[in-house]
Amino acid sequence: MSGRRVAVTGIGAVCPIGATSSEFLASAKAGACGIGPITTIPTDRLTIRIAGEVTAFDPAAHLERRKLAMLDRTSQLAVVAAREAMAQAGLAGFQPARAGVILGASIGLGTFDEAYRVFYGEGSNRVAPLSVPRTMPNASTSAVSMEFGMRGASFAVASACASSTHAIGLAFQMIRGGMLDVALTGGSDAPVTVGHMKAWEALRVLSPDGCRPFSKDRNGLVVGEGAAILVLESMDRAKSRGATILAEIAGFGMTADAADLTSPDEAGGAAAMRAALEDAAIAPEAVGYINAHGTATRINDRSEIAALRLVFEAHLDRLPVSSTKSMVGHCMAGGGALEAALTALCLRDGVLPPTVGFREADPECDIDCIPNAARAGAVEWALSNSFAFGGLNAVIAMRAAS
Amino acid sequence: MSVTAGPSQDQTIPHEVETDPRTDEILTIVAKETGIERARLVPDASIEELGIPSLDMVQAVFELETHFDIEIPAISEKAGSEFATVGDLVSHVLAALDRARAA
Repeated sequence: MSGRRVAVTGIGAVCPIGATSSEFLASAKAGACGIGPITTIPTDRLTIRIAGEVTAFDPAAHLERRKLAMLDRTSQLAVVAAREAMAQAGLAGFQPARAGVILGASIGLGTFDEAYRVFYGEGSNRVAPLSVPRTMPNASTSAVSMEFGMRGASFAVASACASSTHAIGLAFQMIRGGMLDVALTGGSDAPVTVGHMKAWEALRVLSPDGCRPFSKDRNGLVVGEGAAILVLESMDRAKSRGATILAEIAGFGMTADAADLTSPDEAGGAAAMRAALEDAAIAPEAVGYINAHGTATRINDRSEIAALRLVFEAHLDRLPVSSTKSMVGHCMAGGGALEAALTALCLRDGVLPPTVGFREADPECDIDCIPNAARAGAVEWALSNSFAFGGLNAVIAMRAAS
Repeated sequence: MSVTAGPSQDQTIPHEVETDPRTDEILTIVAKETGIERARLVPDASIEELGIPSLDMVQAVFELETHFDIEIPAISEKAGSEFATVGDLVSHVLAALDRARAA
């Protein structure tokens, strides 16, 4: 589709393997895993006791007391990641009405959990007054827009685990179409709460011992938390101000399975990838790397590989595919953003990030999953896939900066 | 990394699914939750052939946990299709009931 080209000029991240985007990248290059025993919440009532937590994150070190109280952890992570992205982009002097914030929708689960624990569990007749603004799905979007005075089109996008991928895709489209010049986009989530972990346990898809995407012995997903924010701006603007271009977003595809609430459908995922390729006007053979949704449930990985095979056919035999979730867990509304961020950084550096935790090849996942160790690989085009519960699929096509 | 957490996975203990008096109680709940006629829920029946979606099965297991006040451990390596047959499900629930009684 024609329109303005869109550059990524800043990336910030806070995740289980890095307090900044450069730490995140360095850890991924080293094949680190941020999944471990849960330390941020009581675990005595949990059956599954592992997660990808941002253990090094001290919100009080970043946010003054009043702001801290206004924000759930999910928004705190978003603001800190956004600051890093803005600093990297060196984005001064934007026109506020032409700058927007578009993030994945993420409710403040920790705030919910604590408010209702006190209300129902302790019989208190009061619920903390900031519960509403801390839990609104646009809380992180609003916090980021206020932080930087961005006054253009800003909203939160909801599609469960694909939310931040949809957000990046929409921000890309709005800049391409001329509605915005600059966008802060991505997402965050802090879903490691007792109540939410129990809800995931009840769905019977959590691994008790680790996230091993594409490995024959994979046994489920691991919940993670984190944020990634990208600065997008029109390529012309970025070039004219002499910004460092980290990568280009060049295509976006989205589809709905309209099938099952939790089981993915390979046709829907394949259609989203095809739409992204078509939008970027490239052939499947041009793609050199796929950042998979890769949750490590038996069904997701099998279905995603089947979808990849539908789109890439024999090219898949030469196409490296890896899962960032193997290193950070499933960061829900922040997951797609972390994956897109890592994809962009790896394109810049000519590195292919690994799938860690891999033990044994699975005939159902007959791909090169870059097992356990990153490797050098200069690639021009990459896709970042997010296939959410509810059958909502989003795929970003990214190109290395030329 | 590999972390050991939570209770160990269920060991399959052979049960007389057909003759155990608790089987009928279990399957009555499964029938109610899945909308599958009780008469079709026989031990050899395939969950897939009965057309029980995975979320319906998750909901049925949750109701069984509530009804018997037990925790039915997830068979994580088969997540999404933990039970191939009705008999597999019943056997897994009976084992959980036995462990709860022994505890």
